[in-house]
Amino acid sequence: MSQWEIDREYLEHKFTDPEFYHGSPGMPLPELKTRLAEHFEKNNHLPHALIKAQLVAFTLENMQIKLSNCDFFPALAACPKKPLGGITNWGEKLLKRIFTPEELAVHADCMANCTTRTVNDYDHSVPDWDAVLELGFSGLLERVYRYEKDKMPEFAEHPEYQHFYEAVKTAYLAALHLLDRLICEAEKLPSLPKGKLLHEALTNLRNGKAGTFYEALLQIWLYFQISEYVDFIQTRSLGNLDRILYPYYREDIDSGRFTQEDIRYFIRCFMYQATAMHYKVGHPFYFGGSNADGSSTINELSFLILDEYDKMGIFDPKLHIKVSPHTPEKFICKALDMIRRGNNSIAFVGEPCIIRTMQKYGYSLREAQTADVKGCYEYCAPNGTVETAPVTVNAAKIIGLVMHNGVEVLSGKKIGIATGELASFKNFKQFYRAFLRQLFYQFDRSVEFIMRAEKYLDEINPGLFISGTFESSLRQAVDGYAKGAKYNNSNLWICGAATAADSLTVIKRYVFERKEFSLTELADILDRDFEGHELLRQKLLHDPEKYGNNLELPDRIALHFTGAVARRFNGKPNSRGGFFTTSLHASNRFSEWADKVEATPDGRKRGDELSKNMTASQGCAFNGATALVASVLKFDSSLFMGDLPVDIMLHPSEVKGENGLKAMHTLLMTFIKNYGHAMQFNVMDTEVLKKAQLEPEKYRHLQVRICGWNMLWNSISRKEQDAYIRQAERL
Amino acid sequence: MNGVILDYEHFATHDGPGIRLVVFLKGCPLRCKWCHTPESQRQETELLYFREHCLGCGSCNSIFRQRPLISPSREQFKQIANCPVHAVSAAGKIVTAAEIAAVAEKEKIFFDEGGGLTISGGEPLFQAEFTLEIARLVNEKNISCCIETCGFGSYDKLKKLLPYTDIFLFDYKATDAGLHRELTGQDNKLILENLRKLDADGAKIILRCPLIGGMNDQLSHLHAIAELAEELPHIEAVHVEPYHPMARGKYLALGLSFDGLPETFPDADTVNHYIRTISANTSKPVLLA
Repeated sequence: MSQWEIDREYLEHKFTDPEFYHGSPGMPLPELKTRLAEHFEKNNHLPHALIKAQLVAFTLENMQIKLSNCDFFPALAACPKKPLGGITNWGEKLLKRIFTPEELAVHADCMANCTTRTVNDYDHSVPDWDAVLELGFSGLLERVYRYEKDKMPEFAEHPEYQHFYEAVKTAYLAALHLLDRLICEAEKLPSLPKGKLLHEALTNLRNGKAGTFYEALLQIWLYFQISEYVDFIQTRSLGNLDRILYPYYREDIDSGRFTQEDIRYFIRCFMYQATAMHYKVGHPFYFGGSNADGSSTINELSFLILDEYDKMGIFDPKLHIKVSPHTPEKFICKALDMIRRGNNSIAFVGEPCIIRTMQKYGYSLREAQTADVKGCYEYCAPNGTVETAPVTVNAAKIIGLVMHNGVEVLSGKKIGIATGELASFKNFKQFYRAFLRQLFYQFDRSVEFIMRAEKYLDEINPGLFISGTFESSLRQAVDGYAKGAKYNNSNLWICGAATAADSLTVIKRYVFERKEFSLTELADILDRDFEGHELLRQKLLHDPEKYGNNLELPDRIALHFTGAVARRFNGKPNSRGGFFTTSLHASNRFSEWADKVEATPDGRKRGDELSKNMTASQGCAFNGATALVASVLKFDSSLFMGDLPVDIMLHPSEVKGENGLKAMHTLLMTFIKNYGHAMQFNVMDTEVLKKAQLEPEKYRHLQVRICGWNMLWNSISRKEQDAYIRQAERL
Repeated sequence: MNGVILDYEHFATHDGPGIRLVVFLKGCPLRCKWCHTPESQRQETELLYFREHCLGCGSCNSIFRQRPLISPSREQFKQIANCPVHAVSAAGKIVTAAEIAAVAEKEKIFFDEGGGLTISGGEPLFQAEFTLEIARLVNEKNISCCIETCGFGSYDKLKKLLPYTDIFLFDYKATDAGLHRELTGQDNKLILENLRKLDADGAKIILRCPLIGGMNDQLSHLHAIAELAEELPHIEAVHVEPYHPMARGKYLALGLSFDGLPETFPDADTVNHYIRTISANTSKPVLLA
């Protein structure tokens, strides 16, 4: 076995083997959880930040750890099973405190029937990675002390300031204690090169900041694990790795400290940490961006990282590439070539769109040029943004609410407003107006709910580590999840937009223009899930007048109602000192919600997938990729600062050879230059997918792009597989 | 000006440079034994029936039983349109050249890097005036135009297209005149004359060579392709187009037999042999189309 095979074998057990920590120093997880719960019960009179800091410190000082000569990155038992999970339940308690039982009942109903999703979100923020690397844990802690000293005169009047600093200091001090523990363990490793290197790196990180490429990777990984799995704040990007790591790379190569092969091995081990975690929605980092003069930041390290990723054929970490007209064609083509070979966990995000949009909202050019890409394809100003995605409204469900005068048909509960009996709609305009009223009502209700709930984000889950990286938080002595971050926007997502647009198109044409059936008849047919009306369903399903085909009517409808939502909420202040933005992002709700969405007028039966992101409904991009992209480019992407992604599905024959690769590049660059936001691909052959269904064991590595992440073909449900096959058959 | 087209192909990546919109015109003077668009041969509208998509609902009044059905009546068209899933459809529609140019214009943003419209068929020369009008209109809109032709038609028609055509994708199907007649129904004399004249007039040409095992893939033909590419200075490249059996469904949809044609793709060794043999005898690039 090669060294890599040995190391990989070890990593495969690291995050999933229940026996992995057996005999390792520290408290086993069940005991740790018990002790945390006891500690919480004794101290829950304290301010939340302080209790949480104590719990975090207790975890870091007591959780099991494990180091090995097979791994450059220490194992922390908190990862992936978060010990603090279920300990405080502050979120649940708070909801009961600030909302009436009636309000909570409506909230629960809307969540249960998948009309809206309204949650406190801690999953869409990025720390100040520059600060993490420039200062290290010890430097970050020192900085807290400095700011605390400046703010001390105000402590008597504002004890919460003191609590904030105390909590952040406790957390960072505990991180240093963790490093002490890790160093002790590293000393026990046999003096093999890897153990020696690990000991040296941990010692350097304990005493200061990263000095080498490897130490920088180790610092990033330790921060990520602590923040995400101990502090319970998701780190939604591992950063702009090629940019932030390049100085270390250059120094190591130029000084001869490490060879390119060494660097490749570090990258390989680093990336495989994420792979081995088997985390459903993946861990992203991103390439690219622009220098102040507009030139691309893509460098030789970018190529090296991408090359290692390609060689491993992995799909987590997932990759974002920030693309500008100056991004080297060679780099983009390398990524596109990987995609057409099936290694497609790559999303392209357009810098012209980001720069135009962010400047429109008052961000500086430099902030826009250096914006972080995070999550699936979202973006935000770097080094000080706490962004949330607390609201999703299901546009497809809104059709049903109009059809039933505000009643959710599957539960019979009235969750919408009365917009009139169907017989009262004399023309499409009236029906469409009712649709907008129902849509706005769901958004208004959700936004009002979240305005109240988000005031308490820092109480529910104080962001200790992330706040410690934000200078603005330290300056104000306020948690990043309160108003401490420089930017605090909240994203409103519209899901199932194409399904809704196609359905409205059917209603306009079939009900009001051709008069093939009345609204009442249609409602009855939909309520019966097209039972007895399969021919009509097929006709509606195959009607070419669908969004995403560069056609006038369905595209205009999609543009109108999504734009109406964006204009209603964009820039509206939220309760955290930021503002609302709008997004056309489906996440996995296009699939997860399908069973709870009744049949829709576009011919979709209950249980069939909804449209994903801002792509055409499943299998309805009849006019191919160019027409789909042309439809998406009709949107003003600056209205959707959340995001505006499109999924392109291609047949391998379309992108084979040099011409095929060039065509992919042209398609992407046309999208990017015309202010398109995000594009991702699935290159699929129906026959291959069908064979993979029949003989899954032969296709263990086949992966598909789901939303902003990939999954193995064999790990998605048969129903989801069938949906992909149906789409591929239409190519 | 009106013409008859079969359909469009959007995001075409192998019919000229860049991303192209391909419009397939209906009507062809040749009857190539391996034709992969048999529904484009006749200029008249024809009935297609894809049995695997049929729900058996009877909405079309079982009109598919009347295949081969050429130039359906108005009543028959109604029956065809009744099919909810397009299992029966009419191959062929009348459109204006301006409509085609408008479709191309809608996709113009994708043509920046060398893309554009490709007029294919069928055979564009079969509707030469219509083809000329389309080419002229897209030129007015600064959209690149390529013509994919079998070369069988009067040279005057080709010459008129010259000012509006960036590249001729010119088919070359068999070297031996007798074999050409046997395989396509027509002699290749006129085709070769037209090819040479186009070259002499400075047209940019890509030689497109369908190669079908056991029919036209003789060594002598492969050598002749290379010789022709060497002889004519304006041939920029040779595109090898190995046989594919994907048209089977369309033959059956038309009610025609697919007998006698291979059911499988040629293997990689065969394709490499084509490319290597031609490449060995010409300095021009030889690419797999």
